[in-house]
Amino acid sequence: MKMFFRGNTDYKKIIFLSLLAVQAIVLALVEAQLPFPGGIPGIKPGLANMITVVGLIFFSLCDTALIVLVRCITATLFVSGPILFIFSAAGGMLGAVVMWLLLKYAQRFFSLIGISIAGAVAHNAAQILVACFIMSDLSVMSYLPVLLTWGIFMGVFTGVCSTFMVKILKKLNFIANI
Amino acid sequence: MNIPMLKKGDIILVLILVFGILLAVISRNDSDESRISWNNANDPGREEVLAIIKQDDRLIRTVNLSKLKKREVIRLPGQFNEFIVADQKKICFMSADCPDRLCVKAGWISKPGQLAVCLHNRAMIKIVKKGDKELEGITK
Repeated sequence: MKMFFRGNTDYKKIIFLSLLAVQAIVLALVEAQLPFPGGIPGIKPGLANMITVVGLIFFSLCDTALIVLVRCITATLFVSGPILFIFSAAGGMLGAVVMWLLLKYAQRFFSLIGISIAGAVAHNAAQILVACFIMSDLSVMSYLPVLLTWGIFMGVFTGVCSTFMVKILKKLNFIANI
Repeated sequence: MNIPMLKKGDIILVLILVFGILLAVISRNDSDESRISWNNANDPGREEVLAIIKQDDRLIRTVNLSKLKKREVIRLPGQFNEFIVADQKKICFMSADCPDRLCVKAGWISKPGQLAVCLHNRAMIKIVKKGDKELEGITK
């Protein structure tokens, strides 16, 4: 965040951040077109989680939160209504914070797969909490086991994908000096 | 440069999560609701099933699905137009003009414990058994 207030603007960083944000938006748009795979409606693969992991590895929590916010706002404009913005923003933010905590303090124990599983689970939990709050009814909780099972599978998938992405980006050495 | 694919913590995390999910599923199956419906699977006509329609924290309507003789259409007021169709032993959001229409995609629901939700309109259909504690709490 500091780069916007300091005199010297870090254009390289801004460009890379916006590249990541665009990738997240495209993934969100693509996954909105996929049919929901059984179970409960509204279930989504959560591919944009991948970008959050990559952002957290190369940038700070603030920058990643910026990416998540931009992705949520744009996806809201394209796909869903204003209420679903609260959902995706709450889920994305909590997922980012949980993954940041794990990356900072528990990286010895978790690989990127475990971290993205934790992120997906936190995302689902936040969404269910927001849903309980909006509907003011606890029976929405009955969606939680289905969502968590789905979150584990998709967390493994996005974890593997982000491992490859981080490997390649580190090999490129483009962002090493940001 | 070398990023390990799997570490010990991952497996422990997944095991904890799977254990938690199993615990939640089993504890829900142990509660009276599912067990009774399981026992009555052969003669489903015996238990009375109610559908509760809620919107904006208010109870709009309670429909007794077991005693319903003919199809009934309920219109929900609010920001978006929504039509709920109640038929014998089942109920659904038939049509809606909210952005993603997840409530319509949820389809027909009929078993106690199932629910269909429209987040945009803050509307919800919940199916409960007659004489349930939950039902009394709502209608009060």
